[in-house]
Amino acid sequence: MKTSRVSLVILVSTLAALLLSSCAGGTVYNTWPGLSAKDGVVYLAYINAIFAVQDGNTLWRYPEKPDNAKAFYAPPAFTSDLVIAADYANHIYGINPANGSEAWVFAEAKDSGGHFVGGPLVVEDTILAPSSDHNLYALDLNGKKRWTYRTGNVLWAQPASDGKMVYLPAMDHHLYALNLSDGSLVWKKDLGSALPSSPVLAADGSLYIASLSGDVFALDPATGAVRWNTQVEGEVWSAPLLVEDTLYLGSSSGKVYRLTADQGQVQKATDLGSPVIAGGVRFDETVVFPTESGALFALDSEGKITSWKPTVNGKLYTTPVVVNDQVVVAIKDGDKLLAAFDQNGAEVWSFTAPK
Amino acid sequence: MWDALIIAPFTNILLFIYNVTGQNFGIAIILFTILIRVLTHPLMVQQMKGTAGMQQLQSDPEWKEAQEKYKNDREKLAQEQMRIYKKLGINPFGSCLPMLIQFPIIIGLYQAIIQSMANTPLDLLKMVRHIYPWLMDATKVIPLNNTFLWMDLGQPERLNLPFLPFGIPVLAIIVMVTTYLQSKLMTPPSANPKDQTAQMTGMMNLYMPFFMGYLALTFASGLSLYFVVSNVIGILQYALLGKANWSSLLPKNLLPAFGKPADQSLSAPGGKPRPAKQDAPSNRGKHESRKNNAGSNRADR
Repeated sequence: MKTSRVSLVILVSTLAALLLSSCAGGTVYNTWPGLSAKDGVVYLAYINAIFAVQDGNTLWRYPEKPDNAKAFYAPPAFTSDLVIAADYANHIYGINPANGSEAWVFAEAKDSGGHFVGGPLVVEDTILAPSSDHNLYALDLNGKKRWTYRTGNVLWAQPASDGKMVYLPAMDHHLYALNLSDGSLVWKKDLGSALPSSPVLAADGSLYIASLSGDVFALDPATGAVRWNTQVEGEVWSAPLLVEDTLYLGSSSGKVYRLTADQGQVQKATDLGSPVIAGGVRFDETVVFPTESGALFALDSEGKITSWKPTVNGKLYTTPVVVNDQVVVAIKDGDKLLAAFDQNGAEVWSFTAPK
Repeated sequence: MWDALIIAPFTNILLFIYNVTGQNFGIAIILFTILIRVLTHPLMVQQMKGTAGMQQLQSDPEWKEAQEKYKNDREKLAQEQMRIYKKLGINPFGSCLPMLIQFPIIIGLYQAIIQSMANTPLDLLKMVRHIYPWLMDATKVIPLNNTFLWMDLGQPERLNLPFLPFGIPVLAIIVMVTTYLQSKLMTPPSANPKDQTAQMTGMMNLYMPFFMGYLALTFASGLSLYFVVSNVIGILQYALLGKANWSSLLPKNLLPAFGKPADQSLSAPGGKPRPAKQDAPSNRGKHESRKNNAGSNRADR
């Protein structure tokens, strides 16, 4: 009898543990950190908080005490006097950058079942927040809804805007062009594959975007007409980096491609030896790309790897930021959350989550 | 290892079914669950046979005698047990081995469904890496069509009606009902109400539907769909094997009319009554109670 009871308890416990651990693999949120910077302060969105960090020191965290109901992965954006953060439960927060206090919260979308994964964008007096509930939410600077636009699938990437139009990439393969004033559709273009990364607007009026299938497009922002299309090897998960008349983008093949912005010709493909999921950042006459395996590479103007090669213990999926002549990376599955490297490749500071 | 041997093949089969059946993830989950349950059916039958054998041992007079005789000598009792196993032709691992084989398959199925619903970029990255390039082009399959009936399979399900201010969790309710039905149908009535095992089983029958209902309420409805299909197939499998205890669904005052045929159907696979010589009349009720506990198989979730 005792044996039966013990067996039953073990069976139930095992089942519960297996079910819950299985759930933890996917349905419970798990993705890479969000990272942004303003005025020398780095803002990290990861797991249950937004951390404001300066030189490795925590200025504040939001929420002040860990709250398991809140999770943050979307990189924060900034108005002149607020940090705008969007969470996994589909709330948007206005946060005071001085002390991390909550100025307002937008909760109208919380029951839609969606999540904010892509970062919000602030354009003049409008906050644009793409949600996985398929909607782009446009708010005023007090967190009041102005309009929404519904697409055909989840939105994981920050849109781009020239102040009049909003260019919104969606996983439904379409790039949408909307009026910033009222969210009305101007045009949409099927690019043949999901769009998990942001478009880039050039000063000359060109619009560049890469798709998951490795297609890179230059489009006319007024009409959506394709000016050129080039395919690279592997999937592209991050926005291209535009430096003068050259586009740089990494792919899951482990290569960083250097393309001419006017015609999309591949000038060089540099193999970094590990998938490049994050985007690149300009740093001291070079462009820096992180690899998934935790290495950072700087490429010179000809696309050659320089001697600047810091590494971290962990995985790099997030596009770095440059603050005070330092490259700051957000680390997943490592012993630190942030690390900053100077022009010599030396680690200047690091950050681990306070307990 | 687990990823390469279990999750990757399962994810590919699931997405292959999705691709060739009109790109509807709901239909793919249903077909994939049926396929896995059909493929693991022989294991389930083996497991039930093994459990029935173990129950047969419990009612064997020689074993009872040995238990009494060697109650203070565990080593000798173990030797006797092995001898009686041999005599009765029972494989001591007959019930647990098929269950252990089924476990990774069922968990793999579950994880493949979760992974395919990719709720975040990192989940999607992992899913893309699991897809065999020779089987399909991942970038053409993404995004999956998660819409099935009124549900978004990537989100918890609620049915919103215009006259109600809140959504009804229809699928969670169906999960609870089918889990309860499955538990009840697989659990025979106990001859002895004070039997602790029966009491524990009764508690489980009440507890499991709430636990499963909570999961269905909280997690993506694609999982709830899998729970429902899995429960329904489980009930069908037991019914086809003649193991379903339909009498347990009836009110107790109706039991005498239904109890006998149901009990008979439970006495042996296929609904055939077990020969009376295997059991002394005085032990029959107890024997059936124990034997039928073999039906309370929750490992097949």
